[in-house]
Amino acid sequence: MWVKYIILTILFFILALAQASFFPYFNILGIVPNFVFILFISLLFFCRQDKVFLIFTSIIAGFFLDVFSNLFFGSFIISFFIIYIFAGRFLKNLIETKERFPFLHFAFFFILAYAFNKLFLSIINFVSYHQYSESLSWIILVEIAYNLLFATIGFYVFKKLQNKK
Amino acid sequence: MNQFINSKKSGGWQKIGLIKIITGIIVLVLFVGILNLFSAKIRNGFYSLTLPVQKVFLNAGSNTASAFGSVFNFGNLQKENENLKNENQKLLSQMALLYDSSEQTQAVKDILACSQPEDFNLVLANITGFDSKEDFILIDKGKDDGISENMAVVSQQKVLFGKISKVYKSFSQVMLISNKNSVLDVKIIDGNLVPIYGVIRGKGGLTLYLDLVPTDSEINAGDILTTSALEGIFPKDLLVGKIKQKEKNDLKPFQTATVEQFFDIKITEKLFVITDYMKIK
Repeated sequence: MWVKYIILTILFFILALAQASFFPYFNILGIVPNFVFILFISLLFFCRQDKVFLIFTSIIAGFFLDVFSNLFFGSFIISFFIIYIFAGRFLKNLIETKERFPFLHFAFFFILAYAFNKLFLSIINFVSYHQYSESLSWIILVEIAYNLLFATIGFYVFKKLQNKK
Repeated sequence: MNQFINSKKSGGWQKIGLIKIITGIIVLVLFVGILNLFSAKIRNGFYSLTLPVQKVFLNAGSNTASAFGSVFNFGNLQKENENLKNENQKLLSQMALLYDSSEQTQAVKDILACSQPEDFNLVLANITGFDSKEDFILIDKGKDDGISENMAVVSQQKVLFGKISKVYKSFSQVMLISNKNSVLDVKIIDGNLVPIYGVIRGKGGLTLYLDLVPTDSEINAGDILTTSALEGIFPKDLLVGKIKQKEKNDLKPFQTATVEQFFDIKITEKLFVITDYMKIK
């Protein structure tokens, strides 16, 4: 039982490290895919029943992103926690389909969560440092699309794992 | 009666739900507050702990990126080489012009004097982290090494990278000049060696643009931009970039231009922090 918590922590740790030192060399327009966020959203989507595990996931994913960010410490933890709270209700209200985990639901949920996270961090950054971290531009759309591309890969990996179960 | 009991029950559940949410929020706020009290220590400890792994990742990233880069840019290498040769010749002719007049020779002396390493107290630092989205880098020197906020960070070739934005015990965060909140005064050296002043603003994503250049000033693609020291943070004559394309709009009171920055994170491993410029001032 506790093994999955340790594995998850190590996984988030490696992803956060790679995100801060390896992946920036492969940026497109300065954009690096947020793999920690992708994993977090995938877990929210696929493991929605396990509440304790998801609370732990929000805190640990947020913590690692906070350590490597230049924002107010805790911004990611709060943002991920809010996403977790609303994810349950949001995913419940989606139209039921024959498929157990439809991709369209995942994509819609991912885009909404990403946009919320971005907006939330921009507000926190502005309130705490009076600095603009982002301005509305087409680059944000590229950023979402770029992240969604990797999230799609993650989605099918998770789906395969779920089908095996 | 049943309905009444149900509504009473649902009201109770709602109350419990509300209490749970409020308790959750309070716990979260307290948790984040405590984390923030120790944020500098947590970050510093974490960076120290992960430094060896980060170095491995950084080297791997840099090597892989340059390997991919050389494969994809093979066709452009010849063109780039030609451009460099042309630029070199242009710089040589500018240098010859500088040596010609006594007044200009004095300027050369000033530049040379400024670029002498003994003029500034420099602290050598390694890059240990890189945030290309927010335009920040992390270096392995901090408070213990005499680093403090707003110190200029340059490369061995006197190329300006940015300034120290946050200092931890043994690490510091550098805000690159391409960060959206970065503004610095620059001098534009055109072909006639008459300086024009402007402002360099970060655009994010490791890009810059030139702003606030008077419309009556003639600027051209290829003009070199150096620091002017007007803002008091960066010493003068540090290399910033060169003008890529100017954008003149008659409706605007100033000219702007896109700028090709001289700093290149992908090929840089070591940087210098100028620790005593403010004392000189």
